[in-house]
Amino acid sequence: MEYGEQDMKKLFYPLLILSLLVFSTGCNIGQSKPVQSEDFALGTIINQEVYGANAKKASDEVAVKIKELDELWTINNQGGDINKLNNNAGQGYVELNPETISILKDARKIADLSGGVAFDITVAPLVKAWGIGTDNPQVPAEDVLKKLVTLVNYQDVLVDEATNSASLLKTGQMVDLGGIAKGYIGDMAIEIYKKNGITSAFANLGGNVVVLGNKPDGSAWKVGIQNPRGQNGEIVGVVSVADKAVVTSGDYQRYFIKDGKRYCHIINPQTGYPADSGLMSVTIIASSSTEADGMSKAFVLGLEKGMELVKRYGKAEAIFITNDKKIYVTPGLQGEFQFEDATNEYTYIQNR
Amino acid sequence: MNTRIFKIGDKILIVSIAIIVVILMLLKTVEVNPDKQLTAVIKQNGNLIKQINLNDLKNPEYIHLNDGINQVILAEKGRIRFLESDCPNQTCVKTGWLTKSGDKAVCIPSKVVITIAGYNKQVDIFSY
Repeated sequence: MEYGEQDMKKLFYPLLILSLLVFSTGCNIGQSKPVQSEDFALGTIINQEVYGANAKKASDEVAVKIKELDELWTINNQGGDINKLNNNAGQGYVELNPETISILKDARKIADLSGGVAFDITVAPLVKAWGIGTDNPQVPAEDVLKKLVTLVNYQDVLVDEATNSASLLKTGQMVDLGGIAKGYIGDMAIEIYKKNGITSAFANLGGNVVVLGNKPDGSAWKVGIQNPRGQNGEIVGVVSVADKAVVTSGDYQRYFIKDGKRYCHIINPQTGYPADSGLMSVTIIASSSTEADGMSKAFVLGLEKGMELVKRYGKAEAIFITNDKKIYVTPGLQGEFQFEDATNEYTYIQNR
Repeated sequence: MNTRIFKIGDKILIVSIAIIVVILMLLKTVEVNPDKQLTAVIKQNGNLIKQINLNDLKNPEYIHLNDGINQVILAEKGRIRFLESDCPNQTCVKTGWLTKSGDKAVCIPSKVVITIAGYNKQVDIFSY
């Protein structure tokens, strides 16, 4: 059978138009542009990058939820839940938002992992005394710190789920969610993405990273690990991850220097002094962002004990960077960690 | 059999479609390669303050901001930075020069963010 002139033309034009469409949309088919957002909350900057049909709705939902929880948990809001709890210390239970009850329970669980030696939300009286990150940081007197350390005990945070209420056992005790809130909200963001049918996204809550799935092209997300003594954005390595949280605690984010000594914002709940354990940073990679945030406070324990804690927890990989610029990576992460130090100052210790 | 399938009008149409395709492909290439155009974007609390093409700068440009916190941003050919700031931690100033796509400096107290447009090739996200 032979095609006529008219048939050829009928076929030719649709083909041309189709090829035009394909060319003009290029390689972007199936890889639509992400919805990117930037918000200021939780005392930091929050970036989201969300792919898929409901991306805008999902990222807006996350932003709204973050602002809600920030209001509830910040110590700058007098009517917030944490202030209610702190102001009522030693005077019995107060009713709180179920979300606050939920994070207090998580905080208890994480503190239990280290017996409170690394992570303890009742460290707040010490945080306040040092004032690190505020306009007037100071070195408190030793006897003051000794007294305040006696107030630190995560087991004194009592939670009654049936009535959505909680209490602090002793007068003067205070809770600070700074060491867990960003982690908790990271997990919440992932839940909101999933609920909206999103399969590829990340949220970066002031350096606490959570990623959902892989990148739209199917490859793993590449998360840069900050050089603790470099400029912001200067890295010492890259971890490739999917469906994970990557949380770093370090001595370089907020600190002050007095008489030549560096005091960082992470307080050792046992000693009452800022962590001084020979580490510059600890990065935890885990499925739960809440737990990763809590575990990153292994920072106060130093290399040996910190690594032991991570091992005992069993559900995380870690990167420890010591004061002498050595980088230690847990065996399970070594395949995913790419050592990339442009400064040539760091040593990657592989066999441990 | 008539071998002249296309009439003159058809030929014109085909050629013009081909030209459109080429133009669209070129536009695409420019969009994928923003690196050559180093564009700094300054935003405060999400609102655009200024956008500067750093390649085209001949003389240094000082941008003064004083919405609560006094700040000076300095843009030069190929780079930009927070030069001075009244904020307590000086994190923004310590960030130093931004020189390549994806570089970013943030001042949390003033909610000012300077970004160089485009993507960082090496890393998708930073943990700090």
